[in-house]
Amino acid sequence: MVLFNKVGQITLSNFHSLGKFFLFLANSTSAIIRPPYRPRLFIGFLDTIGFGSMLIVVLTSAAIGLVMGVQGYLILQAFGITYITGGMVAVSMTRELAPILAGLMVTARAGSAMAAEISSMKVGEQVDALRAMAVSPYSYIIAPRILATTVVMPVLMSIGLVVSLLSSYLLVVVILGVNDYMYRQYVDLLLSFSDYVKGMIKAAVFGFILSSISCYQGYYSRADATGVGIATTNAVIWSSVMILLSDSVLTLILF
Amino acid sequence: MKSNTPDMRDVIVEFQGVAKRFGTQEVHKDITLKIPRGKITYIVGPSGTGKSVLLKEMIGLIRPDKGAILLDGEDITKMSEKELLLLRRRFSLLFQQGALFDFMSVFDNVAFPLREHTKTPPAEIKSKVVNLLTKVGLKHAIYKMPGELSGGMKKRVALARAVILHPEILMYDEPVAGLDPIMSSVIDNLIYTTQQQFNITTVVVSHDIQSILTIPDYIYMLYKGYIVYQGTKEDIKTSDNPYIVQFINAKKDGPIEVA
Ligand SMILES: Nc1ncnc2c1ncn2[C@@H]1O[C@H](COP(=O)(O)OP(=O)(O)OP(=O)(O)O)[C@@H](O)[C@H]1O
Ligand SMILES: [Mg+2]
Repeated sequence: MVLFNKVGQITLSNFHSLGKFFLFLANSTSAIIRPPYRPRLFIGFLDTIGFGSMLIVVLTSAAIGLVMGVQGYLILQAFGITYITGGMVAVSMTRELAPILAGLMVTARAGSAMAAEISSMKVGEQVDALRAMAVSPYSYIIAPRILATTVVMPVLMSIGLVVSLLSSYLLVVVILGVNDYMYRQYVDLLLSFSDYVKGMIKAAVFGFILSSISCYQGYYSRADATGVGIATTNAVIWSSVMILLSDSVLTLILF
Repeated sequence: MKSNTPDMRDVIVEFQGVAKRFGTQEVHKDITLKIPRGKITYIVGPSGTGKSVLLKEMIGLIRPDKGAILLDGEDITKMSEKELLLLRRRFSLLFQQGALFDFMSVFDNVAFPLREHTKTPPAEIKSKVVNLLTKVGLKHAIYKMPGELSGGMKKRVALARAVILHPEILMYDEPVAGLDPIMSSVIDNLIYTTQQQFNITTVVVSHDIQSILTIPDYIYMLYKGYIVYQGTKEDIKTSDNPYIVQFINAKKDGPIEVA
């Protein structure tokens, strides 16, 4: 009986917060669509989120490109078709790994920062101060962050993709000596432009997901120092989980 | 009725039986009061009696559980956040802790309401902001960030931000708490002259006895969820209401318990 009650409570409170989250999403989306638009804030966040996450996206993409190259090479070696490695790496990077990697890195770098910033604004009553000054926090705090992340993610994903392709090329062709011409031919053959577009769509969706989750965690945090910590942790956990879960769904839909 | 009693028929904001609880704590049990238009009203009372909550209720930042809050006769407790957002343009609130945006300079904080709600050209914004910051003794701190200011300095920046638009209703939550006596009188003077100059309805939460005895047109005292005293500053001096007598004379014995 006690157990039943517990279970009931958990699902009820989960439904409650799910409802709260969708209300938050609705408010945020309407703030993105409707004026007042805030181009300055938007550009500012493009800068901090985009350039801020660039380095780690580049580094991790280079590393992933490298290991994908190695593993691909080792498997394909058995069949004597190592020149396909490039095509294989390109396809899996474009369709799956580049968007996911960018999503996880932006979560770590910028999502956590969003949650921390917004929740510490709550500690200092700055969110209430905005409301008191007749400015919607959705329009001022949330919308520019979500929009900037959504726009910047496909760009970061593209940069990561290029870097990973270069690093696997460097390893497989330059170092391991696979035929350059054949390698490129198979990248061309296997990778289509529509793959790239779908990868970018994924990246944009991940950007929207991670930024709205992170902003939500900050916006509904408890207004104290512990609350800031909890919000940041939850933002990273939930964003990462939802990126990976939604990736499966997107893969089923898109491919 | 004495001649200097404000006209309580010309009311801008009215609380009718307002109750508010946080968890099990009943902050407001039954608050009924009227804020006279174009006058200075002080809200006093011991720490933790819900004075800040009362100001926030007045602009819909906190919703009461019961009762009505009328602004020009219209109940704001029934309004959506969207409607409230529009209505708040008529108000300005100095938060007790300042609530400055810590990601903007002092200048940008004070300029914020002008930039958000007016089309004032940059040169004019600059002269207004500098002028106001000079008045509160912070000309030297214009380009500092809030994190680099002392508590009293933050308070004065927040005050400048609150008064820059000359709204219809200005609310100050303990504007002089934590300031030295000289700066206190400078700020009191600024509050008074701003009110006089633009005929702004002013609501001040304060513990400062000196200010309470000199500035307000009308005073309410809050204690344990009720209004326990109301009157003009002249009434106070002759009152035998045990709450206000104890408060004004800073006595530890009386109906107000310290525990
Ligand atoms: N958001 C909130 N959540 C829970 N409790 C709150 C909240 N805001 C205020 N309270 C409680 O309501 C009571 C009144 O708070 P309030 O800040 O209005 O007091 P105050 O009269 O302004 O005191 P002071 O003179 O010290 O500023 C306090 O006991 C406080 O704990
Ligand atoms: Mg207070």
